Amino acid sequence: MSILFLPREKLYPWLAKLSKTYTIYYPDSLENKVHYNKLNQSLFDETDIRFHKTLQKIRPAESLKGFFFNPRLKVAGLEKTSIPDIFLDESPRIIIGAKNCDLRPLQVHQKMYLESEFGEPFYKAQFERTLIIAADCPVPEQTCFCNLLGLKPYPEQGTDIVVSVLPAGYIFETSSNKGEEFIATYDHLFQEVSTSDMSQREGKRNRAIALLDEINPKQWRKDLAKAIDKKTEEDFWQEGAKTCVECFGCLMVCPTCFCFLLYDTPIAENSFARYKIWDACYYAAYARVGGGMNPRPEFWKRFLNRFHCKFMNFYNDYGFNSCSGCGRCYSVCMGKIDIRKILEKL
Amino acid sequence: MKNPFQPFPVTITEIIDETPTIKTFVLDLLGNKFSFDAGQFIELTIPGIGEAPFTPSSSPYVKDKLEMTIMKVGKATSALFDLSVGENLGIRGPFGKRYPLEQFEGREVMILGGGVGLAPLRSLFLALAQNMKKYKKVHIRYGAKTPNDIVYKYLIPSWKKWKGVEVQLTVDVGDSEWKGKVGVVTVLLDEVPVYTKDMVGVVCGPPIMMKFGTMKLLEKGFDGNNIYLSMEKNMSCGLGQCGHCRCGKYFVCKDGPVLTWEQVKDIEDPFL
Repeated sequence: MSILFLPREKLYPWLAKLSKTYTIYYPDSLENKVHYNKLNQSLFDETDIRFHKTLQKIRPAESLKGFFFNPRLKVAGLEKTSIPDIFLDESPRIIIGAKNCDLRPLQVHQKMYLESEFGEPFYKAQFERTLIIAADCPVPEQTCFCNLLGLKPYPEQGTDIVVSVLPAGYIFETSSNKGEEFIATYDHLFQEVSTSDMSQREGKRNRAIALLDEINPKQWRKDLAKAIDKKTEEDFWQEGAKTCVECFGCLMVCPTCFCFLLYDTPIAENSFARYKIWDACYYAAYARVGGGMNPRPEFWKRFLNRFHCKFMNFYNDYGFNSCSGCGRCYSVCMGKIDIRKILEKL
Repeated sequence: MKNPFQPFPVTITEIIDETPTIKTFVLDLLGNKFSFDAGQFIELTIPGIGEAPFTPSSSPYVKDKLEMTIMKVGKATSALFDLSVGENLGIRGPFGKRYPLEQFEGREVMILGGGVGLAPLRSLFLALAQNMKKYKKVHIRYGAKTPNDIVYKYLIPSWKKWKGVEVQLTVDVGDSEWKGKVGVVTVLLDEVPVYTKDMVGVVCGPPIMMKFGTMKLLEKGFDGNNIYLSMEKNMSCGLGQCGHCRCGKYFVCKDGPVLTWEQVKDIEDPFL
């Protein structure tokens, strides 16, 4: 794998060239929040400044999930025997600026969809047409807790390329064969990385780790899955869910949540379209069966189910938690429910 | 990669009224390549309404048609009951695990069904009947609410004549013409003389019947590993991906829909 340096002034001409072949998404600053935006050539001049800054902020408001697992996607219909049109969209794209807390969720989806017996062709197609250039996360904020999940504030795996921002330019480190092949095409633009560049990167990374340790000094217990399994008292989970207003925003912004609903809608006589949409286990009817039986009719049981799913069942099945500590669930919560506080008490 | 969300079309060729709320739909597979093993289920599409999971009730050895005995309980089944012969449905599947029939060989099999729960058990029974010599004996113990609620009334007399098969019925509430047993299905388990630890129990029915049926089998000495339970969960995608059928550590659509008592005994209210 390669580590190369790209001077700051060369980034935008390069992206301009790339944008002729690829659709490029980058972290943009919109109304004081970072959101992914589509790179548009007409924006290049102002993007130069914003991009450099936003790349160094924490994860964008929305995760990578929607790029691969669309919030609403037509997946079938009775008239169609072939795979619907969206599957055929193979136009290449590049997503720049994902943080480590958005890479772990892709591994979760990899396990649930791509490595499952039947696979998921729509997710696979979206994945295959995407090149990910993930970035270091130099300044974690109070909502961040990736360190509690054993993650570092810089990309570790699940990306094609890692970009680290330095004042004079960018270190690009390849992380997959796809990334290596991509960079090789443009290696004339890059310079060798100096020792000073590398030590600057290391310094920034270490400062970010130290900051996370300050934000979250207390690690969760090592046997978290077992502790959750044993914690069956209703009072404990009722207390945890006490301020929940049941908006379920936490699950809608969660990058690891993989649940979906298949629903059919008639489009003409004898024909229908089947959509796959994001779903959330907090909904009362989520697990209800046709006859009306419901294994989790009370909200506290559905609240507990979220912890079972993310920190027990997934962990027991795959050896890592289905949570990356991105903190979005806390950021959007009107009831200020902080899962760190709940898990700390176990 | 095949699109796992895409159903293939089938046509309704016959509708048999079983009870006031249960019908058997006979489906022509229209030449589509499809086969299943006893225990597996399919997702049935009612066009424009949605999908629901059902276990076939016909023999896995019959390849050109499929029978599904279905009770009218919710939105999808209500729409299905409004359909007529000649109309189209869609099928995805089969999904889930089969009964491990090789482990049933040389043993007595106790099939315990309640209400429409006999539907998937019929498929198992027909699979066993195909090679009846391999099994010591097959007992069918079936309970329904009233004589009117008994499914397969036109088939059961012939099952009783099959060698190696013993069938007993009961109803919760009889009527003037009912000469058989009255009482919940578990009363029929008192009739079998000898239970052994290696007898296989297979249970399917409404949640309350599943619970008490299982308790009765355990009380009679069945091993928890030998009690096979049809778990009714919201199996939506069938692929182990959408999350709806989570039951303890299992995705029932992928790991079930038939699980053993040993697998589910530590789950709080597994039949809910």
